[in-house]
Amino acid sequence: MPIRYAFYLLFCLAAAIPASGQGIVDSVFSLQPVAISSARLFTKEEAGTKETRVDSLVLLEKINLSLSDVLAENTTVYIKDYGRGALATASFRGTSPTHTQVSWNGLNINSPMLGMVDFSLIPVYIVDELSLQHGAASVSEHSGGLGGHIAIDNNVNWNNTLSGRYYQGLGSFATFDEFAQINLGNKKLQSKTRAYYNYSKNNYPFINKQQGTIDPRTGEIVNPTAENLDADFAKKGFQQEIYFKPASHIVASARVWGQDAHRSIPNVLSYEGSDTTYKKNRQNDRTLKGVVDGNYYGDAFRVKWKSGVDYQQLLYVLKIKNGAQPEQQPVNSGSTMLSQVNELKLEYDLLPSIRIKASADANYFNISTQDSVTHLGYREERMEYSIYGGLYFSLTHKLNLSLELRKDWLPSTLTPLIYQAGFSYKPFVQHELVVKTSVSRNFHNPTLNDLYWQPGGNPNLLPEQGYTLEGGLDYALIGRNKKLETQLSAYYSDIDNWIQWLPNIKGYWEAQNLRNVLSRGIELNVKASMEVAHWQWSAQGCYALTRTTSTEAIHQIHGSEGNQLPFIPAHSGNALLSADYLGFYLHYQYQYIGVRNMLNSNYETLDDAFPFYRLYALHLSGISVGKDLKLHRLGLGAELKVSNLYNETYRNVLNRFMPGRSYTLLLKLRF
Amino acid sequence: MLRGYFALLFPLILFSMACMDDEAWYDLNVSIQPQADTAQTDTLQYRKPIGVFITHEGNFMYDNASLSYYDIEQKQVYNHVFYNVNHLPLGDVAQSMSLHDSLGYIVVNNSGKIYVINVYNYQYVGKITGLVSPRYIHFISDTKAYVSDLYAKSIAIVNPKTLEVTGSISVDNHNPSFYQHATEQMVAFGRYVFTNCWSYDDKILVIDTEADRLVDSLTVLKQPNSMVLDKYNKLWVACDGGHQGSAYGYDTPGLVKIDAETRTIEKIFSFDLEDGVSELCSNGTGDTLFFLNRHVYRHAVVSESAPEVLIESSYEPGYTGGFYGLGVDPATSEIYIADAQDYIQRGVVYRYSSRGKLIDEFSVGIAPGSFCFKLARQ
Repeated sequence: MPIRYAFYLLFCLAAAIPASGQGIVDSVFSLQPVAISSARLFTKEEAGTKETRVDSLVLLEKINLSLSDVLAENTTVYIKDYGRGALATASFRGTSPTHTQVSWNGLNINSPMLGMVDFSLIPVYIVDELSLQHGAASVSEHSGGLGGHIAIDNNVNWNNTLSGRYYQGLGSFATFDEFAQINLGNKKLQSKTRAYYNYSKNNYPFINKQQGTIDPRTGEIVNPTAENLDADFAKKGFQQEIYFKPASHIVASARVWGQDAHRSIPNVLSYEGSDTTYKKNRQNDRTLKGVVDGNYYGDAFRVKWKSGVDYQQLLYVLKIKNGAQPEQQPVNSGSTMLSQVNELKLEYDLLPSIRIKASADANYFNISTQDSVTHLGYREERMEYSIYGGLYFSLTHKLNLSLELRKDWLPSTLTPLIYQAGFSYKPFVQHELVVKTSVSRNFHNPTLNDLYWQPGGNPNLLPEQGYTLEGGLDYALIGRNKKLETQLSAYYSDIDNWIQWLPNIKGYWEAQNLRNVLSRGIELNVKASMEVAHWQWSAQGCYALTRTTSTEAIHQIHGSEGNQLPFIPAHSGNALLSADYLGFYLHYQYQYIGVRNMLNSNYETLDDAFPFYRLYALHLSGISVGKDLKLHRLGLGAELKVSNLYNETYRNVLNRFMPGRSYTLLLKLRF
Repeated sequence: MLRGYFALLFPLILFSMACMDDEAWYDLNVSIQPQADTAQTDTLQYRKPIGVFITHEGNFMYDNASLSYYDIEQKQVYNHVFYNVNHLPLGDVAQSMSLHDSLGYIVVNNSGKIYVINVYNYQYVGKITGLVSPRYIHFISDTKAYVSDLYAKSIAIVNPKTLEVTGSISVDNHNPSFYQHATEQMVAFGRYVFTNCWSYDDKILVIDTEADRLVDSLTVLKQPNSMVLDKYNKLWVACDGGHQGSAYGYDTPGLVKIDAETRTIEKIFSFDLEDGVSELCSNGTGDTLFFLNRHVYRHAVVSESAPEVLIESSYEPGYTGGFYGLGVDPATSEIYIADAQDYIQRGVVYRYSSRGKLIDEFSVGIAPGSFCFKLARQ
């Protein structure tokens, strides 16, 4: 408790410092929030749809973390993670992880085998821009984004000649971070090279309430103090970007990202092996992704071509040791996934008020998975094609319309024509208020594992498909030294043929189209900032109300109808508050996740309650304090980050305790 | 002015954050617990079960296995008995439970241990740890028991009194192609114990309990998952036949009858390829078999005709979830069916008469898998 009062006093003192402080404003690490303008709020291309961009302040604040941390703490996306460095999947608007499409520089990076992305494997180091296309907005990028689309992008500064940065982090639980970036170039050619290494032993202490022994003195059962064992993780990788601008209207780029990640997957906390008898799980994820593109920007006509390759390799091994016997491997599973993606996109401004877009995609996938112990696995090679057309129309200076159509051709699957039709209306010329609404149809094809996994894959699965109706209000207030931006939206999605895996009478799990799901909710995004003298204040936050329910009982099973789907919180929200003064800064991060049920049926009885079937609501706070300064061309900075500020005991997945208060010291150098 | 609001916002939020209380959640969520059994019976001839324990696997890797207790006379179920009495979660994947005197041994598979409770007051007594992936415990004597294991390639020898692992019996056949042998259920016949090897296997192993050594093996159909010995010393084995696409093979499931003395197969009742025969058990007198094959089947051990459906599942033919566990009261031959439903909600147990008439049904924990009948105190 005392620490809470200390921080309270600290903030009161900070607020009391006179605003007219003396000194030189240091901009070495000054944060450049995303510019708000009416042009961005009211574009033809976004008519009726919702796109949010993660603020660059957030990306800098979490530079040494993973994308899962950014999404969980600063967007409306719910991240289900299994602990620090462990698998982290996204639920966007209450949908399943496979319903969020993710692209890196326009290359879709969802695992074609699993259909989802492990966001803990994407370091923020490689991200320059992060944007979210909610629901219907994803139709313009890809099919399958029933929840939405997350775009990870890199950008170029053509004015750069030589610049770079080097970050070094040292944190609790033997956590080390190294990141270096160098940017070289001129007005025509630019190169950005990044390399990083991240390791954590992750051996935090906690009270293990999943184990107990009898205290010989009292006869009571006591829980031991334990160390989070076999939970280490490491990532090393690089990213190389080359940008070429032979003429002002022609830009080409090539980007490559490679990463090798290793992690141990800890046993359940109740596991009680011994030094000589144990189980250990290890997983290696390797990837090499590359994308080249060429862009012609004419006055009215634009051509964009892109080709990319995504190679992903996943190795999972379960090792056991049984006394004096040699170590054995009951599970040794390896998968390789190769995706080759090609896209040609055309844009034409028929009139200043009418833009037409068309694109064609031809993608190749080659998947191989095999367990060397059970000899189970499958190989699949396939081509997929997609065409897309979009019409964007500024009917008046107050009304924008958009219509997008997409058709995919997949092997052995009849897919529907999907679409998005929306409008944005700006009732007042002098006020940045925009009313939006759209209707869309989308589908998600079963993943290759859903179709072919041995055993349990079901080649007869139908695509999940649904309709979404959404609407919202965007409002911006832009003053001389202050900005306010809000986005309020509501959505209603009706999804059929939702896929679920269930054990069959042979004992293994099998994929089935099981139910109809309704997902509806409200999202609120708020950003506010102001500058007074040398003070920069900003506050940004999100709130999501998510109600995702099954509309019919699964095979007449009582209780599976009308209840919130497992793992999806009804309420979640977060806030990031920051104060900057002459290079000193203080950031406060808050995250809230409501109660998450584990079960299809969630009755309010004690037999249905924690700790077996429910995760209680989570309130987490963190704080960063730092100082940036400039010495000639050299920028230096140091930051101390405190996570889980109040040292709360909490769990992110059922019965997996997360670390208490932890610290990270980040040293920064920039030129 | 606006800056003033910001200045207020910071401390207000900071002030209200530290409000989670893990301990309070534990205390708040204890449901009703059974009273300790004090009733005694001196009727040794009529040892009728007074209750049945139901183990629940829970969701794999979520550490939410649980134990329920059903009072047969009162028709009252108590869920989360182990947790409610001991304030200690049971662990991950409670696979089976066996009784020895007044103690219950709950084998918690993915927690690598066996919890021991007093079956009359449900209190924690101790635990056997240091196991790899235990499945079942079988008592040889007061000081010796065997523990089968999914991954260890050995059967652990434990002392039920000291709760220590005292040795092991290797069952590794060094098969370079498949990970064998994973041992499962155990059935005693004289000085021998039979154990079935279910996972990518087709063997019944024979262990000499005096020498603690593997002495023989029998080949049955693919993937034998459960066994029972009848009143005529015939060992019955249910085999699921494997699955389509399995490199180990895919054969018709079946019920195999073996003479325990000669260790020879006497008869095989075959089923359709897509069937799945499992959860074989018998009544108390050992003259009737019961098992699951989507529905509940019954088979008289002397019958030459095909087993018949006794209790039909209400699930549609294509549904993959449903009946998951089966138990038969040794005194009354009443049938207990564990319905796991969709495995992500609490299951249901149906209690039927031996003739297939529904007597009771009640909600239990996630993925109820096995039953263990408790007798009154002597």
